[in-house]
Amino acid sequence: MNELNTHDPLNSIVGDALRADAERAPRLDGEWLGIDRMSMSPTAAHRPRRAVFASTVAAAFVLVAGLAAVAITNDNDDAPAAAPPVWVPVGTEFALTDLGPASVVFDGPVVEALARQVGVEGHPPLIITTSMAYSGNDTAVEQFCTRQVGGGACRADWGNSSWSSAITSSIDNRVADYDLWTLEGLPAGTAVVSYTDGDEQRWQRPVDGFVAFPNIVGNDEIVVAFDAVGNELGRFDSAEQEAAASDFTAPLLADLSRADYEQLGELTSDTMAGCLTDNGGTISNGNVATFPVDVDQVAVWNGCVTTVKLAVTKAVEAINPRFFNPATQQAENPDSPFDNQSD
Amino acid sequence: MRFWSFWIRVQRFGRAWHLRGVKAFESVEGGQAVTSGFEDFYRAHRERAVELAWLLTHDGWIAEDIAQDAFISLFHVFGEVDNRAAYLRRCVVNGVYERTRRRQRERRRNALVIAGQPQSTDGPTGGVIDLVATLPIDQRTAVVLRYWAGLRDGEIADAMGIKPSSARSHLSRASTRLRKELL
Repeated sequence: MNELNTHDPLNSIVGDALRADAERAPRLDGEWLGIDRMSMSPTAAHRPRRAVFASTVAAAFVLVAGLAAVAITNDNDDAPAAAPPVWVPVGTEFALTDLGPASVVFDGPVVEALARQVGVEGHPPLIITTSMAYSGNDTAVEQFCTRQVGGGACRADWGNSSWSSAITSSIDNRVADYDLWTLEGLPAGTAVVSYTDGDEQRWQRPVDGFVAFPNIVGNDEIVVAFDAVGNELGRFDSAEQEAAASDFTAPLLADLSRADYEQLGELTSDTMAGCLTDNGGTISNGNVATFPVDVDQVAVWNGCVTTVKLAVTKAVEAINPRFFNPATQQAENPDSPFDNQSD
Repeated sequence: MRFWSFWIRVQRFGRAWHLRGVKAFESVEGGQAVTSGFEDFYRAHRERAVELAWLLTHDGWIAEDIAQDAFISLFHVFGEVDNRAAYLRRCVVNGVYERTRRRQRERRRNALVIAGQPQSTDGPTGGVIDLVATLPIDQRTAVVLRYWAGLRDGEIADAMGIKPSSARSHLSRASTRLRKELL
């Protein structure tokens, strides 16, 4: 076909459909307004550098003054015991709201103690859960998920890091004016986290090992976890991300039919639900299991994870599928149909 | 919603600096005369640019961004380009390809299948459009440029940055598939 043939029925069928579809396209603003781009920062749009410098100096001054006051207080043995100093990093606080246990989750069933709702001003609640799923491997995986309005990301238990970051699609999903950069799995004992992203310097007190900051520049985040008195507990930056990515090895994937895959998924959730119920749990419509107050929910969960993995492992073994490496698409078995696939 | 797991190398989606929030334009290299001509060109071509991006992505916000990016690219060379419409078209197609590549990388790197994927409110409407949407990106682009934009093989090749013979090949394969399904 060299040029458009107006007698070709395909021309009218496809052309008409595309023209009708193009009518659904959004419309740009009426006039060209220019090329300057505005920051999506919710609180500091186009904040000039001198303002950052000034706020940094001011924060440092407050910190030094506070430490001096503490030192003076400590010198006075007769004075009543002062309250312990409240240490915070330099920058602006970006606060989260702990909304308590989640009542509806997207990855279930889960136990109430491991399902948390976190609020960020101007955003739908973030749901942080520990759950189980079947993802095509030799058994089910325990996963640590962060979700917002249905979408989300999960870190599996076979990952090589206890931390995981994500960026919400709040803009794409039209639920907020800016995306959030999130991090879950903070080190135990973390009391405050600093977040540096370009000129933006913020800090936050985590909720259940989770933090979320506005994603402004989005390239060179440096996140540092501190204990209550400012001792560094862990650091999350681009170097660590690169190292983790290079060390990353995904488990083998099974070559399963869609029906088998779906059945293994159902087996995972059904087995977990049965185990939680057997241990005294009551599963709500939102897929969250509640327990009597004297039950250690985390212990029950951990026991059920083992139960589910055993059940799914047996089921996969019964199917006896071929396995292939998801990174290379190469099969463990040389006769596999995946041998000729390119990435 | 997109979310990425950390140990799978994070792909940024380039939303950090957003294009919808454009500010009033004062003076940029090129002067007022060039700016004035650009505004006329923008008014004349803005709809087609967004429509092209829409037909190739079926995402209203991304289509707007791609079109805005394309106009910004054109703005910087507006006085130097002979065929501005072709240049703009090329920028839009490049923007679509860039977004497509990013998403493919994200999918490859997300080994863990995630339930509850984003709910699109702008998806294809069915029938012919659904079928076009299933074509590989090269074929889909060629089809849109041929049947919607009415371009010749050479113009399609220019817009896609490929040889005319390659454009014909994409069109041929796509047409064969479409005929089989539609006629």
